[in-house]
Amino acid sequence: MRLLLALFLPLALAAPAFAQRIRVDVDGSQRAIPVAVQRFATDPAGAAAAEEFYQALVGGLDFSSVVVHVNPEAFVESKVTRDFEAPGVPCENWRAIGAEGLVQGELRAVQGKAQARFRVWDTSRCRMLGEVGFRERDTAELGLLARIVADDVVERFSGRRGVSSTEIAFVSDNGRRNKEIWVMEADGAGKRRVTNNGSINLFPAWSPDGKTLLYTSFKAGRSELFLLYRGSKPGAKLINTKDEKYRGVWQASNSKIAAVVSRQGNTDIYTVSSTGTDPHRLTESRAIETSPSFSPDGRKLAFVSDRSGGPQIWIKDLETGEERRLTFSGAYNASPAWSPTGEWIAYAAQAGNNFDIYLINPEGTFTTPLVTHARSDEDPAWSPDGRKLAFSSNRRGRKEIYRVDIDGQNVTLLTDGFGNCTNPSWSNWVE
Amino acid sequence: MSVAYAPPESLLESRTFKRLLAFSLAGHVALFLVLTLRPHRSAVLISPSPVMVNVVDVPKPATAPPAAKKPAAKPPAPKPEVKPEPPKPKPVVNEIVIPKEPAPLPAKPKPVAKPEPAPKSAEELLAELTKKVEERNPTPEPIAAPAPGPATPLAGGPGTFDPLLSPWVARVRTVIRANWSGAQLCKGVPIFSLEVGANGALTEIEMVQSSGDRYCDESAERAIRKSDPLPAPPRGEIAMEFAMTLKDSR
Repeated sequence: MRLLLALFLPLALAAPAFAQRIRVDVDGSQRAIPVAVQRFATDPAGAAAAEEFYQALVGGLDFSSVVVHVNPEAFVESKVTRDFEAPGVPCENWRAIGAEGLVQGELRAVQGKAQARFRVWDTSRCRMLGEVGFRERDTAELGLLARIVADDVVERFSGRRGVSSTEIAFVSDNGRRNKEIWVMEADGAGKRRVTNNGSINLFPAWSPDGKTLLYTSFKAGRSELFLLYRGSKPGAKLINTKDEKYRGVWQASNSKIAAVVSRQGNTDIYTVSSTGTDPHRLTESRAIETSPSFSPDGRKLAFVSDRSGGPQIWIKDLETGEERRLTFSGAYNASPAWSPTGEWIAYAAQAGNNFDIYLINPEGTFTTPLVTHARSDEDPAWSPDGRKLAFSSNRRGRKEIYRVDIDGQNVTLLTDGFGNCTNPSWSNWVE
Repeated sequence: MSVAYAPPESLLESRTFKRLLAFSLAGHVALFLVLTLRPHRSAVLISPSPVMVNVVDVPKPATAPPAAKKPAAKPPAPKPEVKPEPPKPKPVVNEIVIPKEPAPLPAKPKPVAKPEPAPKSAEELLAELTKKVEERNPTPEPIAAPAPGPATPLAGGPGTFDPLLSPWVARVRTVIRANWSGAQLCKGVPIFSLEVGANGALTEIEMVQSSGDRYCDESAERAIRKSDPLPAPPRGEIAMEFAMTLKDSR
């Protein structure tokens, strides 16, 4: 016994006081939040509409890359919203199937309008996220209504609306010699031609309110800028001068347009009002300046200039007039697109015979590839939430429009079988 | 027997006691070597803070890696070999934009700071080590373990990480990471303080530092709540802090 004491007593005395408070770092990965969606309650006559609405709703959620719907076959609870007015929901039954959120609601048709009321629950804390939502559209726009609701649900979980209800304008030759402007839903569905003049129409650019398309057309024999409105309002030429104008873009305030104007052989960037008045020359260099893109606050403008030799991206401070070169790597960088969050400028960088799309921060201190391919990826265009980009690529031979998440994942072809497609422009939300 | 009744002075000088003492010292030295050479000791080597022991590196800034922010990393402006005459735009899409230079073709642009495959973090190494140890030695040797006692939350000190906790910490980390959806919402780092009962049930969850984005904070809290109950801690109830970060915060 003494032998044992002699052995272990000093050990016990020397034992440290073990810390019981520890810090653990958990690194996450990109994974969408699983949310259960109960089909919206409706009267028996509206069952088919409710099913169409449900399919569009879960499609809109899955499109977000932030939220993903849970397979209803796993539900313990009803697949259909039973008591929309109930004060609570059995959160434990939703947690049990792995759902971190729940969407339930009711759908009504009132005087030609489809109305959706919905609630969004955080099942882990068992509380409603926000108030009861309400959205209304014409009954003919049931799918759009469902996507708008889906975008609202994404916002409740992430703080930024989803973009499934937005649209992408693009240029397509549709296998012919002319090029027309087309518009499709953000997931590639519902393509429709919006110009039909048999000429060359290029560079569509949505206004910030999503109601107007600015585009370049040669339908009058030379390059001019035109406006195209939603609804029945007739289109109009933007600027009535003899100069040739190319590629206009909108400032976020909707009040100003930057356009490339060729005057006396010198190509520079000008700003004009949204009605084409009050022209103001922004760049004074004798080099070619093109591809303008406003910062989201409208105070800066990214553009391409070959004043340093090859085409590079520059930034002009519109308040101080200061210009600085942004890109230094590579001999050819073009098509800058400033993200809606202001954090990034996407651009096409030449790689061998082709282009890849890169992201660079506005300070120019960090660059990273977004999509790279043995063939060319060009024309980046941001979604209004800044989480996705559309771009054109000839990776399958013809130029086609693709979509990609900001982390470079989920590259998706949007224009299969539409000929050569270029110049995507992603719309803002339309209320 | 005579030794047992000998006065203390005699005891200290007795041959039997000296043998016992030598044997005891030898045993201590051997045990010390065993303890210090065990793989668990790497947990102690990982930069302990004055208050708590980190089992992993301090979270990195959410935006660009520091190396990428070096202004010196910016390459000099490439000299144009032959300045091309700026072409006049023509009424075709590819001719309106500045045309691509036919030759010579420049090399593929290198990002100013291209992300490189990160070396294994201390945490990953620790997890590997603990896994190996678990496989080799599924139950800890009782002789190496201090007697279980009441947990002493917040009572930490430099270098006082309990090596027996590391396998459990690795399991907890894996569980919470697997349950974390929506991490892509995070640009900042939310930190939660947890109290875990002896059976692994979470008895308290408190956010001690917000990421600055409540949707990120909520996603992290959901991950923790979804992980309740955690695996039972090896030494009874315990307090922990979780810093939740996203690997790629773009």
